[in-house]
Amino acid sequence: MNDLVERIRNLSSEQALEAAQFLSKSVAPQPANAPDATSALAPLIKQPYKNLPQIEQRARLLLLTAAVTSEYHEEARKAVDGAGKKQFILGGAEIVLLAMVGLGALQTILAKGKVSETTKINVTPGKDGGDVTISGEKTIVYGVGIDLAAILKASFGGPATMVAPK
Amino acid sequence: MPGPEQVRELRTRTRDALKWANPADLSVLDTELRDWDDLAQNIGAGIAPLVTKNQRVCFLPGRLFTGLPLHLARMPDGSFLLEHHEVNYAPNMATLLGQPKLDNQQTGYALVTVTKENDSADFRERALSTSSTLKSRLEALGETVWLRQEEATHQSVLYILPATREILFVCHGHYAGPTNGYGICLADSGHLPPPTLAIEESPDLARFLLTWADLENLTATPTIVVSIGCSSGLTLVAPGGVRYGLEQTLFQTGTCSIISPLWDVEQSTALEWLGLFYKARGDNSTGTVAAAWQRATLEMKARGLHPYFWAPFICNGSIFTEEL
Repeated sequence: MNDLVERIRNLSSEQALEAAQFLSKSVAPQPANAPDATSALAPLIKQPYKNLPQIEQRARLLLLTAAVTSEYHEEARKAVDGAGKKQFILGGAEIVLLAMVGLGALQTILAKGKVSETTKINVTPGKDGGDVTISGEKTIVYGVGIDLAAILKASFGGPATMVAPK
Repeated sequence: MPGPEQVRELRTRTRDALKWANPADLSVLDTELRDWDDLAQNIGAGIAPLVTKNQRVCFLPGRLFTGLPLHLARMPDGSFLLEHHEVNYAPNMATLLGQPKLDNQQTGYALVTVTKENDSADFRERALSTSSTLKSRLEALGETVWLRQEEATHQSVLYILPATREILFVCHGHYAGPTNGYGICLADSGHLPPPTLAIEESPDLARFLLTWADLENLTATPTIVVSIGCSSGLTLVAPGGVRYGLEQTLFQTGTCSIISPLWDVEQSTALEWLGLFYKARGDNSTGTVAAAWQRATLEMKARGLHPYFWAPFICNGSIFTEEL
């Protein structure tokens, strides 16, 4: 596993994007829910070249997450094996596509580690018989294993807290 | 047989599946190509009664079928069309039947080799060492110019094109948007092409790419153009039938045959294919360029590889491009 993590860290920027695309196709053949993904990625999609470092970071996050998830480890290895072997240079439209499909794949992989899902609904009666206001809030907590937590911390600085999977 | 809308949709899916195939794991590609396999069988069944063994088959794929690997049509006996037939593609009948014009100015051969800025040492070395071998093969055919790495710029390539009988590009390919189509990556001002080229966002980067628009003002281009640049054989067909791609200007300026891939090729097998193609070209018994294309392709197939590796190249243009 450490060997694969090291290889992912050593991939060039465009190799990481290419490998993430290969991985995405094998774990989540359909792109992420399009409207959600498009709005989440809108700032990156507008100027893919300018935002390449962020898109690359997402690609590495996807690869590292898969590499330390036993179910996807082999797919991650094959994706890394295949990167950097083609006679092509990535362009803007392709970078956008990579950002889109990568998000869907990350959703798929992380969904396997869903720890909890809570839905909170607030009902506020209107004053003096006015309209009732109903609002909702859904919280999903994904757990990451100790391995992934350590790798994410080393690679990206690490999130403030990690939730251990049950 | 599926209707036009279904074929159009299938063409997009097939092109995307081939473009993004992982050379280290083709199982996903096999799944994605199932619908293409069905269409390939339908096409093969339609062609079979019309041809006898070893007849050449010519495709004018039109708006609907452009970009599909029709040479991989499945015949009723399960073989691929190209196993028993030389296969030619052409955008129209005039190109298909165009006679090569022998220009006395076009005497030499040219080889252009450009890797990108941060290709691995192995990748770079393979491109350069194979190019060196290919240069020897071309020299057996005639005087050969080799533009290597930083030497191969727009200026130098456009300078040699009109005086060259045949040119071979060992370069990267790149998609430059819906109107520029697919092009070939070159060096500029002492720099190799960068690892990413977002030309729509940074138009200045177009200096690293040779597209059909760059060739528009040339008076002549080589009779034969060969490229391993990824997808450089793809032509985009806009509504109304306008075609965007290198063929668009090359066929107007004297080129008779373009040998280039329909999808993003894996470098080492593409280079091997090139070696076999030029070996076949050097063999006097081969005859036409299409025959050399067929022989090289079948030799690659005989190694037991997946079609992704042995079938990307197509022979596009005139049926009269003999060994000159």
